[in-house]
Amino acid sequence: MTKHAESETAAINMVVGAAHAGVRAMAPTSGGGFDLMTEGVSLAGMIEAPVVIYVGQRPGPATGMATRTAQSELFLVLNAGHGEFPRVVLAPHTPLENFNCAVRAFNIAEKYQCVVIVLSDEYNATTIYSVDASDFDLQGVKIDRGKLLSPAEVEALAEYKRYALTADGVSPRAIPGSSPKAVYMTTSDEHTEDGHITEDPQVATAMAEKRLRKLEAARADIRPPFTYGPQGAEVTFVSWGSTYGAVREAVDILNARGTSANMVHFVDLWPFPAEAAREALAGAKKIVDVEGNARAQFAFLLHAYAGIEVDAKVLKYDGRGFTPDYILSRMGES
Amino acid sequence: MATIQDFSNDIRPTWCPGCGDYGIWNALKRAFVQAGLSPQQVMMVTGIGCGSKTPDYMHINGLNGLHGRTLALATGYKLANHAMKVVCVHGDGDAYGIGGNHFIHAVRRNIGLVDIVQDNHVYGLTKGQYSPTSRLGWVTPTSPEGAIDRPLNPVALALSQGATFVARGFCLDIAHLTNLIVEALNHRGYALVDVMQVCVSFNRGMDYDWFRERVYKLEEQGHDPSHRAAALEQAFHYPGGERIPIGIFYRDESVPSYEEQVSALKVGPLVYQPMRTRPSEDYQQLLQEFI
Repeated sequence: MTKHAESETAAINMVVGAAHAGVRAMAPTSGGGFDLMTEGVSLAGMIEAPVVIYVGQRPGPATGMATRTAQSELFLVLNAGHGEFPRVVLAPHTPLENFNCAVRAFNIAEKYQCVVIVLSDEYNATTIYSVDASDFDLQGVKIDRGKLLSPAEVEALAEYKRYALTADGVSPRAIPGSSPKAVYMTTSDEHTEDGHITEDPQVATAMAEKRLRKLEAARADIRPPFTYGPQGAEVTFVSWGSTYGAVREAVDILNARGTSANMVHFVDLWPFPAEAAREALAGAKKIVDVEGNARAQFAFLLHAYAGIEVDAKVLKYDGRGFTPDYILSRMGES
Repeated sequence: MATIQDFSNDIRPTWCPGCGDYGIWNALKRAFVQAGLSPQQVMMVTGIGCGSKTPDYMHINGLNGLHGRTLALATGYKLANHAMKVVCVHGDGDAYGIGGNHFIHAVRRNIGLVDIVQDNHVYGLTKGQYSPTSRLGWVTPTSPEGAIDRPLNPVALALSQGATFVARGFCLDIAHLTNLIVEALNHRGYALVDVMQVCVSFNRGMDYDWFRERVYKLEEQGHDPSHRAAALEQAFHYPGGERIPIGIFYRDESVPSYEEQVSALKVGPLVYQPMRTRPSEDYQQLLQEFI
């Protein structure tokens, strides 16, 4: 079902409430709307509600250019919400990957009982592509609800604790009210294993660490970047999200002209696949970062988490999508 | 049949001695028992404030969310599992201040929530700032020259926006409040119970005697709760006047709740519906809309 809420603030809280009840729930929004949702993101982090949020980026600040495109919310989605809690960020780059990421987002959210953000943009959302319908494998969609307990499984337990401390940080989840043993408290306050409010320093430490362990566990579901183009190229583009098509075309043009080029493209952005990034970019001769923002936000992550500094940056923040010509001209290659 | 004991746990409230929250806490437990509910059947959604800790002190499903977002959180919960009795418990700051927009929309939606507002006319948890229902002229740390904002009238606001159940209780009259909550639990749509609550620490000017001298029961005045205009007239007696009506202002059981009108929910609660219910052709057809 769908519910058009009175505000984004209401929407995210409705989604968290529905997720807590045990259904799959998501909120689609864009930058300003996501700003309003950030406190709810923090709530989902604290009560470990599996929530999916689709963020369609547009140029800001404020209303900016509301019908144009951008990739300027990467820092925002990585840091949205007060406090420290895990989240996963996926940035699909094609219609097929939009489909795949939607499936993965819900599975990851339920497996790690965390917020998953699908970071899209206006270009990705509204561009018309030619695709093959048979690529969209509806029958192949696998639904993984993670550690969701059936009423019988809850009944079989001596005692149910919603926030039980576990090795991977993920506590088995019972649907509230699904059995007489599945009666429990959940709170945005720091809480004990059975969900009651506490300010005990040892419990607080254990709970913070439990929540953050889920981020490490979620790495199992994070996919490495993929490479397009020949090995050992003179130029290696680094890209993420919807710039994929323009960058790929720039790679083809350069190779046709005799300058060997390839690209390393990231879909899974957080937890940052640092090792995979180092592997994919090992031996790269000239790394050119391409992204739709003014601060080279992805290049910052690459430097901070993988220790890789890019050699050049092709940035664009005029609200329009990338073209191969733009990329090449910025490199002095047009 | 559940008993009061079934809704109790061994956690001691952090409320001040004499707090009005104790009376509301008692009335809630009694009302659940009287309504024939078990802890398994109730989800208590709360916000932030002293009284929003109520479910922590009970054996019940509790969902204690963010300040002011109680009704939004509860709405999402209810739509996902409408078999549960969803009871919101929050203060006047949470309900009428930061959450005022959600209040208006919960009313006009007629979503099946029982909304218990612990209306103590003060931000008590933060030690005594004036709230949306505080009286004009009241001097507090954030209204040093006396409050200029006129108090909000939640009962009149709810009635004017088409509320189908509007009541007011008093935290000291536990039997009366219990009955109001039972009636609210049996209502098919959104049910507001605004509870006159005493804050013994930070709103001492409105103590038990202050309220006792002012409250009167609508049912003893021959008030007809099927009459919205008469209810509105009673609603304007407080704030503004010196007498505080309690009881059921208005009730209309003819209006369907929001969740009754959502076709996806007709076969049962969403949470218990299987995920792949339709033939695969339907999903293919959906895909065709995009491709």
